[in-house]
Amino acid sequence: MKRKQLAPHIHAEQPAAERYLYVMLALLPAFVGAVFYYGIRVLVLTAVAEVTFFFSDYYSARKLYPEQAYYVDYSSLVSGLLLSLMVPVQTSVWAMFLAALFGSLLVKQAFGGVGTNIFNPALASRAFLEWIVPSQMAAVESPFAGTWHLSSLFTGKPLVSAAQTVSDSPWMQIVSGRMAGMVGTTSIVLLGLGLVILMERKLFRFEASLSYILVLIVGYVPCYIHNVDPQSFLLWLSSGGLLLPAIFLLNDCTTTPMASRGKVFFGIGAAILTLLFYRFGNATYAMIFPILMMNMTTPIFDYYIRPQPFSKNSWYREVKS
Amino acid sequence: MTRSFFKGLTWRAVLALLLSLGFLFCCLVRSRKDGDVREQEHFKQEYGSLLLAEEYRALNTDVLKEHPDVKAVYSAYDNTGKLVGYILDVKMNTEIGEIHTQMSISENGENILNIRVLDDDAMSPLFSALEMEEVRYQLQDKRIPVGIRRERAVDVVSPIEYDPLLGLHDGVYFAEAEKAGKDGYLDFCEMEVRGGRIVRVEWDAKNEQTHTNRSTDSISGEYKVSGNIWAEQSYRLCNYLVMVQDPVKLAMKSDGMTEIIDGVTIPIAPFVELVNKCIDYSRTSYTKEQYLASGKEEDGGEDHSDPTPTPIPNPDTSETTAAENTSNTEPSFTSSEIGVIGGEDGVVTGDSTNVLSESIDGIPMSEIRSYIDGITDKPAESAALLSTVNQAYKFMREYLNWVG
Repeated sequence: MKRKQLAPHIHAEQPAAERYLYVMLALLPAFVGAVFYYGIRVLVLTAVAEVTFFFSDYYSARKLYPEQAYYVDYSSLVSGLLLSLMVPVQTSVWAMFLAALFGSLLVKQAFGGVGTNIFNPALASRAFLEWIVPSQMAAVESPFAGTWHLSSLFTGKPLVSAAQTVSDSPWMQIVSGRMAGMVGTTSIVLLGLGLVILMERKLFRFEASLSYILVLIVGYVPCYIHNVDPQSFLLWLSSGGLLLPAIFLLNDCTTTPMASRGKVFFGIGAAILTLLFYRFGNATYAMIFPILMMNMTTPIFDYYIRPQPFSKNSWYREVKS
Repeated sequence: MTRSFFKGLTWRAVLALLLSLGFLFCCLVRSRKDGDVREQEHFKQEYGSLLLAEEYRALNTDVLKEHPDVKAVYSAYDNTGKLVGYILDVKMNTEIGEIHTQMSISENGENILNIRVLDDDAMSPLFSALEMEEVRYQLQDKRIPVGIRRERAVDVVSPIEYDPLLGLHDGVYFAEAEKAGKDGYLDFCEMEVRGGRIVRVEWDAKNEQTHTNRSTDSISGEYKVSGNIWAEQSYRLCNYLVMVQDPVKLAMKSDGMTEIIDGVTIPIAPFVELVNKCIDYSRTSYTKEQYLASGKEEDGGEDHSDPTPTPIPNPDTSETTAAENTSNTEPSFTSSEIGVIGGEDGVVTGDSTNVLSESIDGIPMSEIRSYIDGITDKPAESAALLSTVNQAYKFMREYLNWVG
């Protein structure tokens, strides 16, 4: 049966559902790391986010968009998983449930459902959490602080002080990701493994991510002039949770520009805003709001910078000749 | 989505899972190794000045729960893995307020090796650097528990004065048996003379195999005698001698026993022999330091000590003397009457007004093994410092007993 499907239309034979499943696979190492470091609470939070996102998307789409109600593309599961990896471990399940509901209903379905949303649902949900439970978002716990603790799952109270020290050396922290932070954002290696999976499946477009990282490197020097060295930069990059957005959120085909040049400008803009947030604002917001703000510009980029038709130049050359 | 898609997805997922878990476990193992190295470096920096060792291990024992003042204990090992001592971190409330000390104790738990005070307020330290150095010097290698000498002086004042032996010179004198007894303990005795009077006598024995003391073993229940524990009997005997000033007045019978001291049922012959040696040494001013420096009795203890040898009491004559003296001493001087010994373990409780005379920091006087002068200008501070040492002793006593 031929399926009626909204944008984005992918120039490949691969269905969107397969792409999203591979994106989930790419997120698997970070998820394993999160469970390894933070324990059973990550499992519960992820389950809540996934179930809420999935069923909310499914039933609201059936109600609002009956023509695509039969279609399941697993984008809900990707959003749920991304959201659960971008929160501190002490996030309460109520907050997670509300955030997932917000992302699904108001960010995704309200704008036409899958493929038509302006903002990334996971990132918007994360911003929503900053608004409804700022205290839970502010206090990050150290890894292994309460692997089997479920007592504060509903209250969101931290198990231990956020000031708990991690005994690892800085390099070890960078590599292993064993540092206080959002549960799935800290390990360069695990996120890198996800990147390898995306690249192996040809699902990664480097323009936005690369320009984002390059501008961050260039901008890091004037922002942190007192402490400029590779170790400090990587620690800043991983502890600030910037790598996960760089790899996964800047590579979202719905909320980022379609054209390569547009992606480059998108990445540059997001990086500049990130640096400004870090320098003059809240460091936690630097992971969230720059990309959300740039999401708003995506239609503009897509309007002015359109993808070049395949072999246009050679066609012109042939016509001219 | 086809079957081959799910197949590809599954094996990639399994591979990603295995790689992730493998990576995480490798990181964990490496992290622990690095953590251990960093921890040891930290310990060396922190405790190396107290007791230099290759490895420090935190003790996690239930005994710590019973001693909340002992905040942390570490055992220290050399590069061959041999135990070289313990580090104790003690923080307790005393009369002068809270005091926080760290000290090192020898591997057998008997001697204090080094100590320092951690001042919360660096602007007004408990002791000046010079004073701390003095205290450290006084305490170094002293057997624990430790008392302030003033307390001891109060303790040894007898209500009834006996004439001292003639010719005694002031000082601390020491004598050790020539060989260990059948029970494996080598007896030794220490005697202090001040103002021509015997003011302190201690009798104990060291097990040559286990290197533990008989008094400690008797307290822990490893060395048993009939009647009171050996440590208490030794204590009563020593106090009685301090009171009567003359070993002859102990009324030792031919079988080496005495019947005139309440609670003493052990043979006292080894004690009398050693005390007589100490008296000899006192008359010739052959002090403990000289004795120990000369290599003890095996290479000529007698040679040094015997310019005017005093014969060891002959059992026969002793018996006679004892018989003569019994009638004089026994009726009027029982230990309970003279107030030398309070309760069963020497601790005075209840309405006693002379607690200090019988215990220090809750430790019976019979257990106090060393005395120091402390800082003269700071008696309360010195006492507080010793309280932490004695608290460490209490912990070590219980811990070593528990380990054993």
